[in-house]
Amino acid sequence: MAKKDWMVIESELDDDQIKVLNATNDKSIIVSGCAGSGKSVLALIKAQRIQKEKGNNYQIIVFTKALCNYMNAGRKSLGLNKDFYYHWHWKNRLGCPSADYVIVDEIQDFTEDEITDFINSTNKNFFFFGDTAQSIYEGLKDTLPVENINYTFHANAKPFSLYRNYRLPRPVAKIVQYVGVDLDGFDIDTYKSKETATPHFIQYDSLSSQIKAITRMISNGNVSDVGILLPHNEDVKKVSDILNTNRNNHELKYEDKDNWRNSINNLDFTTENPKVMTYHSAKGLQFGTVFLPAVESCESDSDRKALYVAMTRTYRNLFVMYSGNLPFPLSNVPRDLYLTTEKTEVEDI
Amino acid sequence: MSSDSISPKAFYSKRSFGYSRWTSIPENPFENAIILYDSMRYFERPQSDLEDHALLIKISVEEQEVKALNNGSFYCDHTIYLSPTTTSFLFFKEKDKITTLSMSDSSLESKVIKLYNRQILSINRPNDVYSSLETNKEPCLLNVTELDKDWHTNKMKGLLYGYYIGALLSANKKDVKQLNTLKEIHNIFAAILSSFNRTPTIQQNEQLENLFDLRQPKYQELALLLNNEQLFNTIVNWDKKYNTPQNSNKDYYLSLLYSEIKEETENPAISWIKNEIEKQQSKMKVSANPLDVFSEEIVIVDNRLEKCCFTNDELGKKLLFAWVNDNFSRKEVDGKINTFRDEFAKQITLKAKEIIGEEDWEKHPVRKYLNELRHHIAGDAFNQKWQDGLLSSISAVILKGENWENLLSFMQSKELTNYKMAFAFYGILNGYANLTRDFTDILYDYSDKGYVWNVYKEFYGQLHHISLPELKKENIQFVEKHPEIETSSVNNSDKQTKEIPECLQPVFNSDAFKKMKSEAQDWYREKTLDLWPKFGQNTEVLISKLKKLQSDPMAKGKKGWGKWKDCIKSLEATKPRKRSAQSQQQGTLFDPKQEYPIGEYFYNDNNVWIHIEPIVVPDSRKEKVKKEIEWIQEVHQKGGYFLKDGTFTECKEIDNESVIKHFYYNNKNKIEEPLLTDVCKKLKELYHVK
Repeated sequence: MAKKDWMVIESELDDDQIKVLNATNDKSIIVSGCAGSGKSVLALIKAQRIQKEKGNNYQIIVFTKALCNYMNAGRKSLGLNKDFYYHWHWKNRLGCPSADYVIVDEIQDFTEDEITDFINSTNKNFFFFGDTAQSIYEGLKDTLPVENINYTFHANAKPFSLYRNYRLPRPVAKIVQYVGVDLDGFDIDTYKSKETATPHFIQYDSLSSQIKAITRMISNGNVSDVGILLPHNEDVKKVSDILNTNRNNHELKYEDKDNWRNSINNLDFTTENPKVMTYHSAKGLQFGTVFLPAVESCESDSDRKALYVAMTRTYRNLFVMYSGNLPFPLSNVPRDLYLTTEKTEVEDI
Repeated sequence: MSSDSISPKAFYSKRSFGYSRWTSIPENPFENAIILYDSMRYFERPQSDLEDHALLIKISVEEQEVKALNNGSFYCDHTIYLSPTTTSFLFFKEKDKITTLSMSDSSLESKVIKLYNRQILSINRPNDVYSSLETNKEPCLLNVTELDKDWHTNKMKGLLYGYYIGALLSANKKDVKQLNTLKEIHNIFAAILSSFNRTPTIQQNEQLENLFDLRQPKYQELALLLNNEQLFNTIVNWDKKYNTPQNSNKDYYLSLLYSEIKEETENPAISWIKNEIEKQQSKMKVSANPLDVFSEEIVIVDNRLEKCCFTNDELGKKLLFAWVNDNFSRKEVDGKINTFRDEFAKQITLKAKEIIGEEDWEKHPVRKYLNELRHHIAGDAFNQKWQDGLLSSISAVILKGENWENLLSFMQSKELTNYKMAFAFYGILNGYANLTRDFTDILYDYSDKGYVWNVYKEFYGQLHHISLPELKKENIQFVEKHPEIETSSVNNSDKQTKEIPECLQPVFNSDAFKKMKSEAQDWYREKTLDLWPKFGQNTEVLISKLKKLQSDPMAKGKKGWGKWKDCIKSLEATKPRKRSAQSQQQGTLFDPKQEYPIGEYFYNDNNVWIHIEPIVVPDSRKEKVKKEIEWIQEVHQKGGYFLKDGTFTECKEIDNESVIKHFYYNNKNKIEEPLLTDVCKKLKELYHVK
């Protein structure tokens, strides 16, 4: 079962996270944090505190429906009474309702006008969480950098920054430095996950063999909480067909830009089914094991940025799978940072 | 609140478990010692954008535990273990208390707050203010021996909690199979719902057919009897060929899966299956079989496992004791198993080899099993049989012990039923301080609070050699609400004159009891009154113990067993069917409204009845009103219902106002006034409908 803890283990928090956690609810805040820094959890904890101390007059808004479903899975753990909204629903179905306290996650994905809506709908204080470095909607919409919000709106919200990444295992962090574009300087100490599994880059003779390998590893019980992330929409269709042929239950997230009726967006994070989607769709999500089949088709610079997002979705295992040649920039990753086989050798005792 | 203790500040950063970030304040400046004052005084914290509130902890300690400092202050160089009977947490402002408790809500480690709820108070400001200690010089060196002892105590406390919680999570095979069936249906439904054409594949259809068959009681029984999937499928197919198949409802739920619903609403088929899973899990929770505290099934002495009855075979015992006392107790074995599972599997294999001996090791089945486990961790399949026992328990923890829910789910998927040892391993692996609240709540939230107290008391005795007081019998179930403690217990010599508790009166006033011979009457009365203090708060357990009196060797020759069975029936008749809101208010540690908060939507709120029940009078109408509420919720969850003529009536409007209105009109001729209006009024109030 896909599972995420939505509560905190104080002993594992760093000083910056503690500051956000201990900030009073009587002042607006803007929290800027890198991927995996625990922003979403802190956002939900803010909601929990508001509910307990100020009542139910609050709302939580996120950008995508997938992230909304994902965060809704944490609602029960925290005993939150209010449903979470994804932006389209909040704006178009509900007409931007106001609340005393407004909490928005992934604020970096919103435009100035959209952020204006949030601020206008706030009666008392807002709590924004985001990270400009994670915005992958460049060219698609004119998003407002997180650090510009206070200045643009004369908001006087207290800013907080989270620097440490708690999701990404160090062995994966070392690799993605070769993949990301315009990244800050690499400092291994900012990666706090204790996971040790070495990533795998494995060559297969075809896409079908790659999917068979995934099926085998899942049925062996070696991996769980699986995300199968693909470069393009058409790959999602292909992989789904192969999984069906192999009798594997799975769930899809698929966007059909020509006919929205064909889009699928019903991921259920309480099942054990592998989730299959594009790199873009995986934004904001995390999985115990991330499989990246068909990476050979990543070619452009925008693919590269999306590939970085996909590789950083794992909190434990990463399997990069390809047929033919390993594409750039993965071909530049030093050979000692990854394994090239599914299994490691063990000697009997 | 994570370790149920308070320690010198330096302990937290050095002992590698629990919270480690503390700030010194002038009133409590030392690193190596806890400062204690002999009386309550006032202090305050400076204004800040961050939450920072003054808190006093009031404890009672033995004189020999502390050393005098000056001006009525003392210090202690070791951990003081707290207990709800000797500790209070005091705030000077109510707001400080509310904020602190609210912040603790999100904390997974702050697990014992509920035990202390009655002892967390806001008090009037005392007149005296803390004066400076006039020294910042440490009064003592760091007590390294106590620090080490703390570490071991924390590990063993985790082991004990894990074992007892494992007992509460253990289940019978039938229930586990049923849960797996439901989860599998959920997986398939979710897969169909997010597939391209939202239509099951041929394989999914076949799987669903089998799974829905498995929901039928006769096939559930057959599956248990045969325990052979292939044979089971053959017989089911044969049965379906010659007998009219019962309607499994598969097609109905599949049709719900296809129904068009609002984008933001959960699919009714998914809601249904999630609800079925929750119901099954609740059923398993209710039928939990707590470990008898007085059976001494697991015993810790001087921070080592001394006795454990989990396995009876000699080799199993040797392995168990060696793994716990040698392997799990090593300092590097701490928490996140997935970061060192290959090395740990190697260490337990080496330990097994040491115990079994070089000579026998080569062909020993344990060698084969553990080496295969190691290959599995490296990526191979695992072909060893999963069965309740030591090897499966340790394998499950090594493979899935990263968190307790995954571990439980994994063991259930393997159809294991006894989880005591696996969770004991999980407990010692993490240590008590790092166990999360959702895990320990399985014990703390157990309905019989007398049992919870007895377990807590037992652990305290085993780990700290301190005997906590008994609770008064009449207060045993609400530790928090009426925590008066009495130190005396019932004198064994006055059994004959013991007062018979009110709820046992039906037994001894029954005609059947009166017809028993006086010798038998005395014997059964004495035995019952012996059992009452231990199990009196759980009628079901008490009844099962009373039924077992027949097999008591001392019962031989006591005629009247048949009559005794009739006496027990009179007790069974008084057994509460379910926890009512009223009984919770009287008998639990918590406010039911907090424990069962009202949801946002009436149509899918499982807690609504808890809130409605108290207003339904007379009691004879409760069942009817409950049934009608459940019906209205069900049809809105499913999106509608079938009329007798087979037509489907849709119930698409799921907002609270519409559902309450539907409830009202549906019951106009079923529930009399003013009861119906009262219920609707309450529903509107609960769901904020004007």
